[in-house]
Amino acid sequence: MNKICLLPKNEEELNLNVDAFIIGIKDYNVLNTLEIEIEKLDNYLNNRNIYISLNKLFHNNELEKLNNLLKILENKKIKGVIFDDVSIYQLVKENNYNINLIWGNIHQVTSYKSINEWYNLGVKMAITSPDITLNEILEIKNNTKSQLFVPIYGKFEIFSSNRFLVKSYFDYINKNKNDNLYFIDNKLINQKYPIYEDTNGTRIINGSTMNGLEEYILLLKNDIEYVIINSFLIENIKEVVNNFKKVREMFENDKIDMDKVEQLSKELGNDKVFLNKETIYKVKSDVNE
Amino acid sequence: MNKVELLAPAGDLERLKWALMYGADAVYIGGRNFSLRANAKNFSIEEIKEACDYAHKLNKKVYVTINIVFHNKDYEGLEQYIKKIYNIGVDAVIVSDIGCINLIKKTCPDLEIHLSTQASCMNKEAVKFYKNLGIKRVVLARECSKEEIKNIIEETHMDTECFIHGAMCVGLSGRCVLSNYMTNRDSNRGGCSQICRWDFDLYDSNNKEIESNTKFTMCSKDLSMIEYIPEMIDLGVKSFKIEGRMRSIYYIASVVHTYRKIIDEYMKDKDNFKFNKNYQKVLNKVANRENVAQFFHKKPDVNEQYYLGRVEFSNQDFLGIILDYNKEEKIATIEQRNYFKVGDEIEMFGPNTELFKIKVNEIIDEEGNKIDVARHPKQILKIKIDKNVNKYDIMRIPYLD
Repeated sequence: MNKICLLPKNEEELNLNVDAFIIGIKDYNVLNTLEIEIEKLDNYLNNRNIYISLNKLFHNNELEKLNNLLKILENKKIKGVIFDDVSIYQLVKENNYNINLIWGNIHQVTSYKSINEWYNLGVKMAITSPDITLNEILEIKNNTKSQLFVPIYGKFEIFSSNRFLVKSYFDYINKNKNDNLYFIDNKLINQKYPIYEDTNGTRIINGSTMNGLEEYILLLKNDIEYVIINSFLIENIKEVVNNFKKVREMFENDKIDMDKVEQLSKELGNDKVFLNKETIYKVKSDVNE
Repeated sequence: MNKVELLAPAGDLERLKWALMYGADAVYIGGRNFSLRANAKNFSIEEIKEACDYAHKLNKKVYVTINIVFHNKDYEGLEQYIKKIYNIGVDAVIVSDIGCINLIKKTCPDLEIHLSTQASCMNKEAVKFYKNLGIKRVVLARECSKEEIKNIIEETHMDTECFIHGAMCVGLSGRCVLSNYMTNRDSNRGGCSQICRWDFDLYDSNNKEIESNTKFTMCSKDLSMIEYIPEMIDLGVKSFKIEGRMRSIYYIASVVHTYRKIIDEYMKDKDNFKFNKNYQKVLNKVANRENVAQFFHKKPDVNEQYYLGRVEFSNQDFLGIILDYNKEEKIATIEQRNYFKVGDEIEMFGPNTELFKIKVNEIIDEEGNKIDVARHPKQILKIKIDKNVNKYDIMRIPYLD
């Protein structure tokens, strides 16, 4: 059965009735989700399926602490650790930690060939990129044994930098940066994009909200294991979760009402992002090259 | 001391030849497909062969980038392409996608694989992972500091390649899809529209605009490690990479030539090496942007960013190329590249020609007529130059006092 996995934005949302949560450990995570200190992890584990995000890229001087963290996590009742930096895989393997790893390089999990390589290395779960189409997701599913997490709703991160771009700007214009969250806009795009900056650097998040509720049915039909709902800047997250659960229930009872699904979807927004749209780069000049 | 490699970009055959002529030990190029500079001219299979033949005659190397992030259908034709370029004799491929890495290992196990900076590999454990995968060289993330580079080399003994000059991605390589979301152009497959160079309005979380005469931008200054080459050599960096497959031959020749001189001078006499500030002057003139050392000694801050508008202007310092030189008559035949006139002072330099200045006393056109001004692009002209020059030497406006 498909599971709904939530990236909560606060502790209160951990009470939502979903199948799993992804939360980050402070200073080891750059997903836009709830972050906690490792010392407090046990407070959140009761009767919850928790995946821990450690999806930052690490410098050498962070490796020892990272290794110690992995040692701690091995003995916690978590469902798995999401990584981007392959040093996590390397440390887990070198030390033989019993940790379920999930490949979460958010913009590079784009093909079944790469997912299968990780599967062969023992990483049997992956979070697909929010930048690929529904057809690509289904093609991946049909060609891999890996369990997939598919981002299906919310605003996902689209840029990550080790620079402090907002702070630098404020320094340049001689003003104080008083917050971590700002927004950028340009008349060519006519959309505000959240830009978030903390001690880890700068991240930009998609300004519009991906809504794949209608596409969810195909994911259900194709036995996709998890969908990810991202609560960041979403005010009506309860409604979002409920609507997805309603659609799932329809599917499980074999009573899909497309009019109803459409109506539920309209309540949540109408941007599919890349679910039904391919990006452009260059047409192959010669497929035989 | 082990030899270091100067690695230059080449967007096409002409650039490749100039890069190698002016002192690069190796070049990196992209094919028509699978490369992150999808809008460069790039190389057909025949051109890759010609590139390899040319480079190998000079005992130099050619690396081919296969550095996109592959979607499912992008693998179509990849296996045949790998076999073709392997059979041609390319010296290595530059890759980041793990599916692609595995395909290369299966298809052509002898083909050397370098890990692209797109993988953002920045610590020793990550390097160990890739070493175990069979990668022979890692192009380190541009976010690595001097200490990190040193530590990675010491602990892993992996061949490392570091960028030393050129434009910087402001985001972590491979983790920026601004272009995808704002212009529908895929940055990880070669279509990046460089959103990081745009201006933006900035708002706080209450939707109030941050007032300023200067718009918010993410644009960073370029990278230049010109003053730190000796340090990088001493760290054990194996290959020094210049960015810019879409740069002009003048830029490539000037930048390669400058770094070649610094590397050679240091390698020749480490104890008595003195940094020649003229090299910095040349690079400043050739580039149309400011450049700094970025992450090498510290984390970048306001001093590493651009806020005044990244003005791009075409460089009109490049005056001409020597096509031929008659030693008896001391007459050089040149191909004009920018305006110059009788009475102008110009500089000459080349791979085997030490820099010198002359005054243009006379210009003769192809019909044998004296003219005052060389104004037509690629016009073939003759001028008198008393010192010996060589074919492919460059004429430019004076940079140095």
